Amino acid sequence: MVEEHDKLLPIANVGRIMKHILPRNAKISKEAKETMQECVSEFISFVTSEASDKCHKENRKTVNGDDICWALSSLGFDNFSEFMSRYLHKFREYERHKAEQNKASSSEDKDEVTSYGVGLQPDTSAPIFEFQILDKGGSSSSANLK
Amino acid sequence: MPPLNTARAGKMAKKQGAEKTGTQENSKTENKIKIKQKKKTHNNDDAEEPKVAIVPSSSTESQNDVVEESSGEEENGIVEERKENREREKKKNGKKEVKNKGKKKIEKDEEEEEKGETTALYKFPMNRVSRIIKSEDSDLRISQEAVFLINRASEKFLELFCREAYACAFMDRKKQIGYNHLSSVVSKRRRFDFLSDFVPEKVKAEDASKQMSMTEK
Repeated sequence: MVEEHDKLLPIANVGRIMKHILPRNAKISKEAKETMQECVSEFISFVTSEASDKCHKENRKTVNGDDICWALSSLGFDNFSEFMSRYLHKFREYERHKAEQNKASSSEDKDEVTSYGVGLQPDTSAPIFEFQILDKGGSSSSANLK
Repeated sequence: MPPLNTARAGKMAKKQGAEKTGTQENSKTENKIKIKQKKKTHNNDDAEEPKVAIVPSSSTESQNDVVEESSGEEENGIVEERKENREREKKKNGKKEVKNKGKKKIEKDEEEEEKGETTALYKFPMNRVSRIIKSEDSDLRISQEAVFLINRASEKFLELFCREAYACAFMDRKKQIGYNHLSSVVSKRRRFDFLSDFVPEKVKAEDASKQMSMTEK
């Protein structure tokens, strides 16, 4: 049983992002905000299906970051691709930092990353630390998982 | 350090806290990513850091400054961790008058900070994004990086769409963006074609029925 709202991003986040880029005196009607919510969800589905189709054609099982970049430019959002490589770099830095922190602290299970869902898999091209996330034991080395 | 109940004790602690924040700011940046430093230079919003660092007279005033009307649904991934760091710092400063209120303030501080962070972190909750992706195709396998990129791309898309809609509202000499502005953008720009079924132009019933009768003829 999936609620309708589960297929939409939180309206608070949507509203805040909009307010952030608009001038101070600008207002957004409630209907417009709700429509925006739906449009962003539709955008997500659109890009995902395009990337997924590409993977199928190339006989690959996992959609990776490059597929998303490709899908964005193929769908007419090529100016986004420039930002994506920058974001990816920052994301990897952040993940690396988090992995180091996990090592330093006691062997608690950090569930936030694993909560992405059943079908999600780490990038095969990603650095070693990503495998540590799968390893719930926490102490064993990543070499075992390779 | 137990929460201080009396206002006086709170003020005393705050004064001490204000002195400490100098060093704590540094530890904060160490705890968080280097990008936090960059964030300070990019920060165009109203001063967010000072709300945490330097507290004027009463704590209630500072809390009012931070209040936002947004709902409780927020990003979980990175905010949780930083919330922990914040909570530790707040305890040291002794700013927590009531535990619940304190936590709310921390969350709202986080929200304000998230506003400033535009490059490193994401603004939409990751689990919600992945749920939307899976609703399309439950068997789909997707890497964490890809989910992250979709998260950021959606944010960029929202910004783009919003700007276009505002331009439309501006041309219409309206300060409020309405549904009709969105539908206008969708019908005019090719890259928004995929939304044409979701954001159709609204037509009056009589016009629609007239059109239908004409096509029937």
